[in-house]
Amino acid sequence: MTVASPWMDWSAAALSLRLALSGALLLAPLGIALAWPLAFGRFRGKVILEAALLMPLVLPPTVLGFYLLQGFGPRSPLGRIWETITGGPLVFSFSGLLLASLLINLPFFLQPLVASLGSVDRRLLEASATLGHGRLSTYLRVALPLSWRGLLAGTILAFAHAIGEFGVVLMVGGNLPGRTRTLSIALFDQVQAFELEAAHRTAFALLAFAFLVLLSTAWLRTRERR
Amino acid sequence: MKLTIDVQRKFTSGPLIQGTLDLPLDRFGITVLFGPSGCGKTTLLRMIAGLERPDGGSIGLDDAAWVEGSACLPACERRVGYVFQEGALFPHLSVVANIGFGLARKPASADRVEALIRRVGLTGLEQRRPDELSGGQRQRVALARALAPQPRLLLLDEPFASLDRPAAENLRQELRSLLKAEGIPALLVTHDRSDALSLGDRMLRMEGGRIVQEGTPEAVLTGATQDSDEAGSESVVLARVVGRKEGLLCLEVGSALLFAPDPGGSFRQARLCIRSEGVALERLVSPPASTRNHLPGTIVALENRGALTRIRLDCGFTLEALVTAWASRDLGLKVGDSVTALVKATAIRVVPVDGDS
Repeated sequence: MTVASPWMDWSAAALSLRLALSGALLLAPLGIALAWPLAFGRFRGKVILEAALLMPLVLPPTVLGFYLLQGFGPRSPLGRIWETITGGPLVFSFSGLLLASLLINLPFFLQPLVASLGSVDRRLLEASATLGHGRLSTYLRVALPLSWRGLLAGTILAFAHAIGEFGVVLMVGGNLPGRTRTLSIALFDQVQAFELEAAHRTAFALLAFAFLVLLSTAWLRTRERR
Repeated sequence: MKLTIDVQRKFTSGPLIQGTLDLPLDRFGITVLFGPSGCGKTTLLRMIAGLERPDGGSIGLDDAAWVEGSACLPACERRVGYVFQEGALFPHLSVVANIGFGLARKPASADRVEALIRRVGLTGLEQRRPDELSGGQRQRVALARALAPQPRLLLLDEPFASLDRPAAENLRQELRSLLKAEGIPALLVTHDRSDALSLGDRMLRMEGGRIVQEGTPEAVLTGATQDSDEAGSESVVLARVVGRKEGLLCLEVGSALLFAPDPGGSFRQARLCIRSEGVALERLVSPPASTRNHLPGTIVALENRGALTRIRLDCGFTLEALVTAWASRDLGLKVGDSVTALVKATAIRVVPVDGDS
């Protein structure tokens, strides 16, 4: 079986890649800001925040997609504001897709990062404090650099998950070629149309990609244990 | 300037930790917080640094409150240096970056870091990472890092505990002169008598969560046994070196001269730890001046401990002797008697006190 083929839906592949890359770029600053209170914060409602942020891991993607569709729709406040500013609807657009993708991929980014931050030796953070550094400075200069593997693993996982996301993408973005049709949706279309050979190629490309991603995160984890 | 500490902290297991002490911050001096493991020394140190919140009490620097009720000044605003047991160096930073971590990014900081690197003997290792250093070198970096921002007070938590004996000895010898040159007062936590004897100007003994005794190392350690069941004890006295001969040191204690094995190294002052088992007593009241290690004294206390008798003498300093009960009876010893103590040279341990005399 060959992967490279003229019958691959290249526009869908390009869209998937664009979605995943821009998602990862936006997710990094957002995730870094959110990981701080999750790893080191002691505040009321921390458990609730944790649960809310992790919800996309266990929720059926269609449920999430349905609520996002409601929240992003032209009659929702967010949808209205968006339409006033940009002139176009948030649903069934790339921006809507990107926003939804950020929300569902956040836990994939946060989990490895928060775990890495949690394993940083507390005495190093205390040493930084006794040397006059406040919490933000300690986070940026000590905790985060020492958690770079978690940061990288989170970025890779979120990126990979964004490439393969199906349910939420279909609910929020629909299936518009070149605008919201990603590779996983293209696969669904190919199967529906009995184009099994093309479906095989698309599926294998996604499978090989996922495997490579998991391999690289596993390698990062073994390095971290050393 | 004075730091006044009166704090309590309770853990679910272990004793209530209570610390009431004053630390003068306007002059150099090393206070040793001494006691067995688990007695609360480190907790007290952490509360002073702001790394742990006391359950009650207060900490104040002159009139400014660091801890008062529920208010607690964060560690980063206290300007208190802290040296952790195993250094706690930042593993992702070089020696230079570790030492400069507490300094603002300006040219003067680089000079300060360079001077400290020279001072602690790390020249040539500037770009190394902590995992490329020996235990002793790591602890030197930790010390330089804590001193770099010129803290008001330096707290040291068993800084030699993770080092092998020669490395610990080397660092101990340099620590005092380094702190003195920087003019930074220090509070040192240790369970090691040698640390206390060679570094301490003042000593606080902690037991079961409380400070039970305070004074000079001589006053605190004389008569204290490491184990309450142990009959023997040590007398500790500060002495001046007046000569060296054939592997022996000649030391002046008040008006008396004592000879003891020379541990080597250059020092002018030493603390002598005299084991009570190595002190014999005689009824001879005025020994000839030339007799070695004969000290005239008066008995101030007698304590029978089964077959042994512990005798406390005033020889210009407090000296304890441990003799058999029958020897004590034969000599008819009682409080107020004048006797001569014969101190075996081998029963004296000499701990050099560095720097100042």
